[in-house]
Amino acid sequence: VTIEDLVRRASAEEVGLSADDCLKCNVCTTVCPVARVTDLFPGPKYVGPQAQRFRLATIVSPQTAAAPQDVSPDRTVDYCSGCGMCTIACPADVKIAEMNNRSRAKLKAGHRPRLRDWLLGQTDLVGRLGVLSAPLANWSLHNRLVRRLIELVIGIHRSAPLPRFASSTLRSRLQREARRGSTAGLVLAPTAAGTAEPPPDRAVVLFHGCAANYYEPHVATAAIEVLRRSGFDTIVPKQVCCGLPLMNNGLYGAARGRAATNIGVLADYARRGYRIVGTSTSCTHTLKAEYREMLDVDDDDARAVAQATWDICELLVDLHDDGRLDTRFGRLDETLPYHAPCQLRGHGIGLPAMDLFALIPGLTAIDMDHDCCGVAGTYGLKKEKYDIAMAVGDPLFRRIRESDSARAACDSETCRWQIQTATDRPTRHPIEILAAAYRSFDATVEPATPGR
Amino acid sequence: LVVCGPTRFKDFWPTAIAASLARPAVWGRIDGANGIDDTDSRPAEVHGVTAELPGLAGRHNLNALDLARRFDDPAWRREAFERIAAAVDPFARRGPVRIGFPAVLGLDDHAAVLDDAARMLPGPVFEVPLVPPSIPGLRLYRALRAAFRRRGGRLVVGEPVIRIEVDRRTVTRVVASAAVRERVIRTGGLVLATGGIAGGGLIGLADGRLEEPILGLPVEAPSVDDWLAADPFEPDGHPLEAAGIRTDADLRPVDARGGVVLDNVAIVGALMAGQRYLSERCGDGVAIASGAQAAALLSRRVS
Repeated sequence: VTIEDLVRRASAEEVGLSADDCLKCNVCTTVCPVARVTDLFPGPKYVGPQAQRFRLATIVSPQTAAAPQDVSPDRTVDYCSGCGMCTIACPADVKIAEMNNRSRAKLKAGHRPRLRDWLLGQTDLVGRLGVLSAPLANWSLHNRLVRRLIELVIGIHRSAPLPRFASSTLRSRLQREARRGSTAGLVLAPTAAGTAEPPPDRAVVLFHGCAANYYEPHVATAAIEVLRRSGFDTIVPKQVCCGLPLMNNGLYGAARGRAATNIGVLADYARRGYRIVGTSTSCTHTLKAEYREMLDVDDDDARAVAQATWDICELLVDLHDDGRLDTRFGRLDETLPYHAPCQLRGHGIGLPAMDLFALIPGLTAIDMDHDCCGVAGTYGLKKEKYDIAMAVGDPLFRRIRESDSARAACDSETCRWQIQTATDRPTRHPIEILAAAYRSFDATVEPATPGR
Repeated sequence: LVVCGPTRFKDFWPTAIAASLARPAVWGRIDGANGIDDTDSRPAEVHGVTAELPGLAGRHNLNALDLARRFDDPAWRREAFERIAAAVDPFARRGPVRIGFPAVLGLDDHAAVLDDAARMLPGPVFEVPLVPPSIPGLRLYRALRAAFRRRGGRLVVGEPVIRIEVDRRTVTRVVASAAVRERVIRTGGLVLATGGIAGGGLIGLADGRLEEPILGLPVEAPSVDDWLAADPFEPDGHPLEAAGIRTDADLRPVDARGGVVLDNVAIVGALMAGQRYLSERCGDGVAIASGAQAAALLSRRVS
């Protein structure tokens, strides 16, 4: 064993060993949305840093060499939704949510994944198949009888919020537009040989993720439209699922494969000075932090990608600070309840969407100030966790239902679907609201003038 | 005095607390500027009892928060108060009682819980503070947080400040970490509430100095030879509890000669020099009072 080996092992254990910093103050328990509503989950401290002692314990006997025991003493860790509120609240910098996610994966390691958990991890495969058969898939996934059958056989709750597949993927839409030649501000990569990409001070790279590709292409096109207003082209390179749904369902090996593919594509852009922008706060958080914290992917390429990645609203606020954001927004006379998803808090960037809403005349955005909508990615879809997820989000749903607003806003897709299903209010990405405000401006200017 | 706690609640041992409160030394006079005399409050008898609260059988990881949230539920707490009343009743029948209960009487609905307690228990109830998470602390935090947000305050939690930029004697920018990159917050004023040695607001260096790590402010501290005390809880206090940043009347940090170091910074809480939070048990009071004072000073300067 060399010093280098020890250093490498210690840094790989950064998450696990942070348990040593736990003061047992229980602040994590006070902010845990799951422990708030159910006795099935005792709280982040108990299943996290406290149980970690047993996981780190080594069995030493004369016959065998020391070997980490590495098993979780407490199966209730499976009820952690992975929202991450505990890590954010911890005053001692213990990586509680990451620790719990890892120990959940260990619980499942060696067992064949449940069909359901495997399926929920394969967002890109499911997305591809779903878009191909969109009319049938949408009909069956919103048919009550089929949903009861799915619940019975697979274990996805019959009332859980499932999105509708788009009739074609974002990529095929953009390709179609490219063929028609209506590609102002859009570059599909890899580009034809000899075509130059616009320079990094005039273009960003879009990580659209699965949600925009298979379910909500309009969110990505709204982002492209908004960026164009401020003079930025959007480069859309080939990419795969970020891998977060795989991690959430304990499939770390597959997630590492997705990480390698994405980093392989994006690192070159990052090195050339492009900013990588995403409309999904959970995808961008995965690129920024979870490849390193969850998958131990921490090479120069991964670091370059992390440093170059921006949430779309974070980027727009930064452009605004530099005086580069087109602020000619038209009026939107409405009250807009806004939910900041738990994944956004992990970015540590405040609430950039609220800062942007403040630029739109007539718009009154109200931060709902609620910890978690409950769904936490794929957690709330599961039969045995659906009721917990609904109880977690209940105060949020009630406030939105009681408001007289026509729609709500939220940065993360699974939260949008959850809120939409629970409240019957269409729930939009902030970028769609901004695009609407620009269109409202255009409508007041006659004759219609192109953006700058 | 009847000290009553829920059965199997590991953070509160009624018989141990009762035994402690039965000692005459607990009740009496403390002289000095803020002296108190509670000799007359000394109870004739002190007893410890437990009550089996509804629906908690089999719970082994019970904490204050679990209990406080249950007390917020009107139906649950009525049943709970019936059982607490039944546990206290044998003593209440012999004479008037005061009831000490762990500080878990409601989180969001404390006032309503106290109303029900006054109605249903055979004597007045008071809360005994517990180990963290402190429910009275959470009540105060939530009330302050709500007031702050109502006035348009923005709250970012969880990302440590890594640097503070100063122009001559004025703080101009606070730089916080984020998942990646840095987050810059421009500011006209700053309240520094980073805590004392335990909180990380002061760091002991190997060469025997105390350092204020974020702004490098001058620290008032005993010489390293006086850092140790035989008993950290001895009545005269621990020498290090008085260490910290000396301030002027406006809570601005000053150096050894009394000169103001930074004009738009207020030092609050355990970071302030000259206090006796161990010997006087006044840490929370200093935090609340200095925080309120800092807020008043800042809002006066802004308006």
